[in-house]
Amino acid sequence: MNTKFDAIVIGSGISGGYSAMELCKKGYKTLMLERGRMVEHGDYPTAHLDKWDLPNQGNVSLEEKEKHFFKQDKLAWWVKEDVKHFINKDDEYPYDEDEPFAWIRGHHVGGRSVMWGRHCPRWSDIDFEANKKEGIAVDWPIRYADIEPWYDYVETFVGIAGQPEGLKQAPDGKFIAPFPLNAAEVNMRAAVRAKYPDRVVTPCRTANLSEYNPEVHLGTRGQCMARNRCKRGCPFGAYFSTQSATLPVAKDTGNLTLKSDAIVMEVIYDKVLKKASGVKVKDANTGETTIYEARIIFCNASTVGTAAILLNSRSETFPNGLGNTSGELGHNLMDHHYRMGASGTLEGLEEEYYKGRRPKGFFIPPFTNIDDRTRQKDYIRNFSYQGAASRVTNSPDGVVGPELKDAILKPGKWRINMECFGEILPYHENRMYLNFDKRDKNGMPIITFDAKLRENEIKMREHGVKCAIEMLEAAGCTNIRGRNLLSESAVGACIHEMGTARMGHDPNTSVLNKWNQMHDVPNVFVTDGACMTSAGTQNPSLTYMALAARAVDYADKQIKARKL
Amino acid sequence: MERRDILKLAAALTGSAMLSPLTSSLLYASVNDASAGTLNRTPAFFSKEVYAQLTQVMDVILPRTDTPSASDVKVPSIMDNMFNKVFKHGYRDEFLKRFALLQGYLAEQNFASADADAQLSIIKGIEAKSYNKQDPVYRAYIDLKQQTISYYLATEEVAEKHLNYLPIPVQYIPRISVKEVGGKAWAE
Repeated sequence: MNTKFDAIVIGSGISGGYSAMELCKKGYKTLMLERGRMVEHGDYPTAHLDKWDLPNQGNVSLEEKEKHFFKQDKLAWWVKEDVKHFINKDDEYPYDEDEPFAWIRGHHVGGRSVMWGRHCPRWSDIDFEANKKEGIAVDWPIRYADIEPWYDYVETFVGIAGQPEGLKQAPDGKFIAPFPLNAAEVNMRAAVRAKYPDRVVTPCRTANLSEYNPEVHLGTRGQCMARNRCKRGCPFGAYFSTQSATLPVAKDTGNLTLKSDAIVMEVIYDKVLKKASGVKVKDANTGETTIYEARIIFCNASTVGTAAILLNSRSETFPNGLGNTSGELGHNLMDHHYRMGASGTLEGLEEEYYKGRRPKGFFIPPFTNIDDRTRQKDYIRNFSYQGAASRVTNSPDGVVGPELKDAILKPGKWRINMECFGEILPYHENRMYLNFDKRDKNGMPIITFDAKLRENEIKMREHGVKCAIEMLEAAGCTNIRGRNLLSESAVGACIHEMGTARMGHDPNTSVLNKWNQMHDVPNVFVTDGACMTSAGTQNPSLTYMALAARAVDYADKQIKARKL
Repeated sequence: MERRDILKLAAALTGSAMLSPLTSSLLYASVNDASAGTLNRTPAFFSKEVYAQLTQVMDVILPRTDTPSASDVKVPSIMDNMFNKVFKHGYRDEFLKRFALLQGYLAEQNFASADADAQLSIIKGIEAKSYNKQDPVYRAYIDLKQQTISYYLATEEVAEKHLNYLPIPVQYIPRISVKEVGGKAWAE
């Protein structure tokens, strides 16, 4: 096999897919390396199964969880029969924890783009300016104006169903038609807005094709069939994933070489040229190592995966890891925190129903600390919500026998549930590091986590729950139950890891510049979550893709100008 | 071909799935008498005695009418499997302890030998204890009731024939009237 390419992309998840596609489209012979197995589009074995087709009502047995998923099952809702083949087995992929950490992932082509949540809100300048205004960590080297055209570009291709709202804290995107609110949610939106004008209940901004346009939604895409079985893989290609979108488009250029079962051990540095020369790869099946060379390297192995590879890339010039002059590599580890919110019963609307299972429910963008008027004294930054109103199983108290049978076949009362997602600050102390004294089966040092929620997050949680209860009260709910499950909120549990190779102005305090390019090693780019300088409260994939497309465009211009 | 496969094929061919709330007792005529079969099965987790008692209570909660009973669609066996394979040890032990109290209460009421009407009123008597949700007999019963309903609705028989089953809805419509779907809930 050829070992020389124009570009190497490490990782095939949502950002790796985008980086590779953009590189291929610009004519670069690109090698995409994925450490896990091949998953072809359509290779979704549970996509059409119903609950009764799956063992144990869809639950993975205790024995299997204890053997294979003892860490992945930290998220009680995550390890299920319908998706377990896309979840790493902990006995094969170990990691250590100084503080409890949930590192939830799946090693296969497409990575977590197969199982992702698909909610795609934009960042705003409120987020990009926050670190500087508050003196937290370091300033973002970009602002909304830098990324806005790239949001436009990416959203158009991805297809984001959403409803424009004109909010400064959640800028509108290039939306296709939303999956509209149902009857209970329409009422809730009006009632909440009447009492709390800053709180807007709007449909989630989701990467599901409510409208399929084959001219724009290239790849193997198709109309959403309203099945809500997205995380199993969609045979209709109705949600955006590497398999359905970026991979087929990249392949069509003729410039892509995809190699699965290819574990990148390290990025190799050439101290004479002062550039990375390539990567050292171990074949997961044969154990054979190969060196692949390229002019530019994009790291998209995920926030933790990328940092681990770079920390393992030790040389005379970079004894503490490639591009780690600042010492920040692996630090400032962030996520979002959740497992908090509220639910309530809404009486009435008995004749109202819905048809089909929409892929996402409602979104309530941040409304605290978005300006001086909404400033909170107890915490900085903010939170948002995702939720849904639906008719639950009709199981009335005091009713049994034939009467109960009639009841349970009818739609039950409306229940509104909302989950709060909060920002975690970029603490230098929150980090992952490599334990070089302990190795996995491939000889890679064991990744160890040392990160926790701190006072600002804990204060924010209290307010997040309180506001959720207030909104349900405003909507007219009864039987409201708030929840704040701090013990289930280990960093990582939201599966939005960020920050281990942050962007910044200063090479002494950050790993990447404003183009996602390493300060120290100009031909290495990082466009996965590692690049994030703060976490916001937005689900981050859209921003990674926009930054990836922007970085490829920059790299291409630099190469053409013979500067790279 | 299974009914869901027919629906999938129909959806693939026509671009829209059939929508048919089916409550006809004619359909139910094809269901065999599963109750005896359920009781003859050796449970994997529960003792034969507990399993028999569970089955009896479940069939009072959801008896056979023009739709199948709980045991007709093997709900006791589904529950036995959940206890055998899925539930954590702490919960399993707790359930058994509480269930023993429920069994004691039912024995006092001569539940096993009572006729169907009397059994129904004994169970309604337990439902009436809801003023004290911590009452262990009530808790054991409510847990059983909730699981019975949940497993019942998630059986192929009930979901496909007695609820509105749409494997491929094709389109999401945010507002329809309950009447449009014959007053029936969507299958999960």
